[in-house]
Amino acid sequence: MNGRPVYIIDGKRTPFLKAKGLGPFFATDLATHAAKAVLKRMPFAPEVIDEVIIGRAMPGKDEFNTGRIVAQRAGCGRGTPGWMVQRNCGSGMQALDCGYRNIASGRSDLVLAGGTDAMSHAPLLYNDRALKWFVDMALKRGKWWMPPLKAFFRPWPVLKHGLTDPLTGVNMGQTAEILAHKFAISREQSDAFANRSHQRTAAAVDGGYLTEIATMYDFSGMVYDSDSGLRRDSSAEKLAKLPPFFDKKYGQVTAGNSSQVTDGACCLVLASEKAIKTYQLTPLAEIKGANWGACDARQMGLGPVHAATPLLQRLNFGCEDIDYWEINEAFAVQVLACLAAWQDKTYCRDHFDMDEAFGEIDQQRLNIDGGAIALGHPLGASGARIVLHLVNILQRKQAKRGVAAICIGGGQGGAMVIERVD
Amino acid sequence: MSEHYQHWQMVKDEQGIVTVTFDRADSSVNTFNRAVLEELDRLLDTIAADSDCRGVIIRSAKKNGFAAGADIHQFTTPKSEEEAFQMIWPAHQVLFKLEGLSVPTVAVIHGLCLGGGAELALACRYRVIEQARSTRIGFPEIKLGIHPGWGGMIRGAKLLGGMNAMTLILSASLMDSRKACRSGFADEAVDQRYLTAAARSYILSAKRRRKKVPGLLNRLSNGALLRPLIAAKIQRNLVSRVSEQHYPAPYAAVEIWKSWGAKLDRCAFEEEAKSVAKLITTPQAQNLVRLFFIKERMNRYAKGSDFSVKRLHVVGAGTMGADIAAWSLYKGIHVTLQDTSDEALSRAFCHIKQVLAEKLKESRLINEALDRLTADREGEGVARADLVIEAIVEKLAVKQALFQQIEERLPAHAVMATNTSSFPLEEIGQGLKEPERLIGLHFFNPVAKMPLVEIIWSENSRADMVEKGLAFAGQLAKQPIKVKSSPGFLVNRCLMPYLVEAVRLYAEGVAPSVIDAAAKAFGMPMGPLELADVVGLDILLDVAENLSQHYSLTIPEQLRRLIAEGRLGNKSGGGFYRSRSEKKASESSIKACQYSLAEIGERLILPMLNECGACMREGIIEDAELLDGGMVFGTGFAPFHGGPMHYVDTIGVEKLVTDMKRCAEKYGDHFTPDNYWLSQLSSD
Repeated sequence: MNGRPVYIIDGKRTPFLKAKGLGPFFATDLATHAAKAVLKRMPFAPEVIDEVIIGRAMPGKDEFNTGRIVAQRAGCGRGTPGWMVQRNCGSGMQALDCGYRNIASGRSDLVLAGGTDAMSHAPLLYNDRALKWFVDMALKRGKWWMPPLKAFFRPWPVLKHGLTDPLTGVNMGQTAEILAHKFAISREQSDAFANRSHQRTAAAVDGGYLTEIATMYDFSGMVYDSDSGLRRDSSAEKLAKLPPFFDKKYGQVTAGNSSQVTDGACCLVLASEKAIKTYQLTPLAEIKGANWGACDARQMGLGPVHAATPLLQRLNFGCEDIDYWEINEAFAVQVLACLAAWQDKTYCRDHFDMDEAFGEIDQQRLNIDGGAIALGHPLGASGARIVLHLVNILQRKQAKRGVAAICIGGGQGGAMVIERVD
Repeated sequence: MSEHYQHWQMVKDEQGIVTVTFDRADSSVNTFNRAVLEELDRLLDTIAADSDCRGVIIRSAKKNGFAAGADIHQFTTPKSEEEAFQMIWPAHQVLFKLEGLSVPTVAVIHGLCLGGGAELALACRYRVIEQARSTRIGFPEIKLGIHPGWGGMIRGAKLLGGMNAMTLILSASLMDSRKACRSGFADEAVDQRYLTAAARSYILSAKRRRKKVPGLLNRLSNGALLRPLIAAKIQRNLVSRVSEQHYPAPYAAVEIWKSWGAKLDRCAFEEEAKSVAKLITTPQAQNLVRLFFIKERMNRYAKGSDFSVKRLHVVGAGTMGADIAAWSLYKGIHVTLQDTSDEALSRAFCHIKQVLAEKLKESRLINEALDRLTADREGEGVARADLVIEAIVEKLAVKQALFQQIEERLPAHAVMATNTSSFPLEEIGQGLKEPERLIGLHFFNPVAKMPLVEIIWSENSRADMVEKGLAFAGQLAKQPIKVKSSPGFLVNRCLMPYLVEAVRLYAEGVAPSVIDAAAKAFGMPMGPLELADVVGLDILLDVAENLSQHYSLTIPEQLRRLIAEGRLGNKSGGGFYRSRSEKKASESSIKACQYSLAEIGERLILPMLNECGACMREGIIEDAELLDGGMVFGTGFAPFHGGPMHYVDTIGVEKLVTDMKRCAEKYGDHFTPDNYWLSQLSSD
């Protein structure tokens, strides 16, 4: 994309808290915490931020425009606009992309962008019959004297419906099953991938690599300082014992080799060169490009391939030019399917007009600190988290270039290429 | 109507509604003095003579409120009861005139509406108030040793009901807009933009408006049947809280209500005025008025610079750190709270929420304040702070190292402050590149309740940093007092001999309740041993030991023994008292004691006065007036005595020195009068 260069200055995220009953924080609490944690590291006052953009897949009560609420609560003042973006699982990356574009175009200089979701607080809605009765009741028309009692006990859970494509009726787990079948990926391969995710995350925690986490304190004496979904006792044998969750009889996708339902938020500060000069900021990375792609909703797990491949083509990078990859682990089999698609000459030719397959991604350079299978996938936050963590990895490894990519329910994918700034 | 007024404006619109605006010249606050009242009197005559007038709206042009009551400067002038009565009574005449107007009158109230201001409003037919957090209505007269004297007692009882009115007047508490409506004081609370419309509607459709009446019980409480019973009950409650000898005003207030209730009778108003005239000339009231002016003087110190703290960085999430953070959040400041321990931070978060919940009540406001708080293990907040307060463990080397780190990253304009009570600034500042930026901000526990902050300066401290410290205290609505850096500063240093003497008496076998009773008989709000139990015996010993290194202070063994037994005060194991029931001194235990209450009182107070003298001699504090302010607001030293230095003025230095010499012979050297007092003696 043409325009001014855009830099990532810093970022912070909350610990990702696995949903075990209602979580201790609402999504705006989480996002506000992440925003405050990163803003306190900045040499400028929060009021100079030009806009706050927050991605979120499942808005809850009193939080419809989470972006503006976070801007206010994090101390950016009355004069800072804020907005919320929704692209399902890609919402957090979408927020970064919006900030990136507004800075590149010269509209903004400093943007706070990120994502949040408290999936444990996903709303339960009344179903349509109950809703109709409420409207009739208010207007005193129809059979308003006869409440549809049964309807009150059949709520419409946003969590469940949000994870199902409304057009094809296929739920996310089933799209993973479809990919397993299509690329002939076995249960053992999936479980091994999932197990490795836990091991890698455990190693990252022990190595002190998850520096982007900002400890949270609630107001009743609890301290939250790490991702609660990590299972250090995970093993291939244990994972093998779990029953398939989505296609219960013949499927292979289990709760163990899928990402977890989690509460969490992540916020980054993006800046133009002008802002860097004015406030003497030290950029960590530059955003070189972002792209969105789409495919069959029933194979939504291939989204990363459809987003990243054209982006890399556009930027003239091949597989070997990328030092590190962060591909969000919605499902183990889904990531493996992406790798398979990139190695598939026919797939690459049919979809991307390539003569050869894109290539084989070295798994030692992919999700090296684990991913959503171990730490969870708060839909709105994950897209921002993988970009932030990629920045962290490039810094740590003193590497040049990385790709963060995420699959999105409904058959989309998002990808972002970043380069470390020396 | 073309008369010219200095303090009032009067405008009549085409509908015949006269708007009278109170705008006292030469002041930013509306207060009543003779000239103001005379003008109002003249103005009311004009209105009464105007047959076109359909109604009157009274409001204020001042930003901060309706009116803050009578001009307190007048309180010091009357020499006799008669003179005082002549000062008070004309105001009644003006209010009678206002009340007697044939057209509807509406007071439109915003912000502060205190004492005489509220009494003016009570004489109107209706009161419309602004629905806002800034609206504060009440009768603070009791705090000045008097009670409402412009008909507030009687009109208040009528409008609010006897019980409501007495509670409001005796507690001197201020009502917010909601409470003012509920109590019946206000007819309606509306948003600022509707104040005029509401006031006009009361005039234009006055007949349709139902006048507010107090609840049945409150109305009955004014009746001849219940009133004496309730008055007796209130009196009994008073006896258990303050003595009539120390604070006659509340007793006089109950007496007025008991005899007159809500009878709008000229005699009643006259009795009320006479009672205030009598009270105002008492030394108690004069001392309280003096303290009021000292408080104003202290507040002026806080206004010396236009510095204000937007971001505060607090290091140390212990009791003091959390308390300072909570109060600053309450006052709208953004706070980063640093500590090395997650446990301490999480405990502090709980405590802060509790403090804010108690102050703010509404969850929306509590959350808003909590959003201003950020935990900061890394200490990143320093880089953008306007002021950094250290409240960590009392270890010199740790503090020095901390300030050296802070100095590296602190913005040039920002202040470095320590909340230490043990180390002189000079020592903490060692190793700093700019020790002149370091000051002390000594808060008292609990911050939410204690109004005093000692602003500590050393020879090194830069004047603008001290000014900024004073301004910060003002921003927190605390009374600041400048104290020179020296062990114990002012308050702890002067309080300690008093507490230690109490322990010594205890060691001699005097019952704790008797010791405390003696202190209370002198006028202290709380006995010394009761206080020690609240503070904690271990903390008391720490402070005492620290002070004993610098001053001649011997710590009774008894204190260490109690601590060794695990009796640390209220927090664990009980302290000098082990149960509530022990706290009340019985007649027989007082009789059984080898000393009289007066003797004990003398033994407690004299060492404190002696130390105050030493502070004066050493120039710890600017002057005697501020020392009085510091001791009253910092320790609760019997306010009606006007502070320790003023108390000495009252009894005379000769008597003080004689008493001290006598005690020195009897009880020990620590009673030997300080050179300061001896020099005062010779200069007299």
